[in-house]
Amino acid sequence: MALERHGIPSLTVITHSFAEYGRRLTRLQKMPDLPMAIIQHPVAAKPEDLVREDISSQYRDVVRALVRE
Amino acid sequence: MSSGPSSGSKRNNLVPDLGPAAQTFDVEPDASAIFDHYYDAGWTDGLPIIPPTSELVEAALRYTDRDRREVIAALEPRGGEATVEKIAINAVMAGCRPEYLPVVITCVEAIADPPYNLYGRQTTTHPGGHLVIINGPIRNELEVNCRQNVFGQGWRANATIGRAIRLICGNIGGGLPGVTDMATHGHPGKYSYCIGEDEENSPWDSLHTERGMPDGASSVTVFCAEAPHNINDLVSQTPDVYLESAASTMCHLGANGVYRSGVEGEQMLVVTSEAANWLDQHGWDKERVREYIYQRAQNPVGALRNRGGWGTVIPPDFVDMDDDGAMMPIVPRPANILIVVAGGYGRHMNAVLSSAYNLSVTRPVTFKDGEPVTSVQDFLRR
Repeated sequence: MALERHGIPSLTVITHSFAEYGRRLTRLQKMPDLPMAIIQHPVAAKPEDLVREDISSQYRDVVRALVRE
Repeated sequence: MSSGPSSGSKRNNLVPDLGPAAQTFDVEPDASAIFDHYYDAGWTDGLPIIPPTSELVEAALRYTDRDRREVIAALEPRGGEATVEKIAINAVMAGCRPEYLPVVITCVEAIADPPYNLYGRQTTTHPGGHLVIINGPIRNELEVNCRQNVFGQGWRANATIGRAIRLICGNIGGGLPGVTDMATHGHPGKYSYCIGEDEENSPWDSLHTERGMPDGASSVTVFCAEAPHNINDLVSQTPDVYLESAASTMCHLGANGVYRSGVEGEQMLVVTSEAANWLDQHGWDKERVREYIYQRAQNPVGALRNRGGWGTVIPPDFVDMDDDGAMMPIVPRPANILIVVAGGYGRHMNAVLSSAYNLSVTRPVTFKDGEPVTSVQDFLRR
């Protein structure tokens, strides 16, 4: 949110267990449209290749959000 | 008639001078029903509250010379406007006596100070409670415990001032457990976390005079911290061995600080006056204790690599992270070790550790014009 306020297109990658928390905070901060990419929880201790696989599946959506398509 | 702790929604950089007046509403005059009403509305910490009737809120407001609608701060993550009146409402709910209000207002000023990083502290998974440390003559006037069982139960001022800050952070700041407050475990100090410093029995400068408060001034220091971790060393015969027990506890591998001396953070050691006087008699002043803890509370890089908080923040530039034998301290510099004298008889100590992403803030308790408050009764005389 701080980056977005400074004019830098931003997206938050967040796990599904924290998704509602993220939505609530962006609403409280008057940035309800800030995009989020939601991946499966947990991430800690997950093998790196599986994390990469998870986030790669969202790659197009991430790019689309950052270029504000 | 009862007053609700509803809150505003301005951001910190847009804080108005005055906020909206609190709303009043009628409730069934039954203690259990009132508690149910407040609990169901999400306005409590789960414990019963004192109904903030207009009469009780007015009684508290006698202990401030500020306008009841004055916005003391906007509290994150909601950016809620903490007006004097809403602070008083939450203080009443927490069980504060009316004369505690000046301290509670000062605490609100302190937690809103940017170095405290209230947004981060209110929304993190880390278990941080808002520890309030009270110094100066008000501490005695309000009977704030600073000795036996100092972190425990039994003193109204400690119990309710700390609780008031928690209620304010939820009701005004929007820190709601499991919703915006994502603390994985939290800790009991998130109900209330308030101590005094045992200035009278300490051989050293108090925390607040170290921080530039004049003699005779009263102040609060807020420090967002984990639960106190006891350090039992009843046997050591020399200060260096005794303090090594403290240093060991402060740099355990699960502590945040051991990985984060590259960012601004602080860690705290609480010693009893008995221990402080013993240390002082052996030539150890606060600076020497601080320097020793800084030097001994360190881990080799190799012991930290790929565990704990490794790699999650920028490492310190004064440690060679490629050298497994290089030593990593728990704070960037000795000054970031806070030493507080509190507690009863004995030589137990307490490590009060933080996330290392925030700094403590000390604020004087003052009248609106900035004049230090030496007695809360002066509000009634003015």
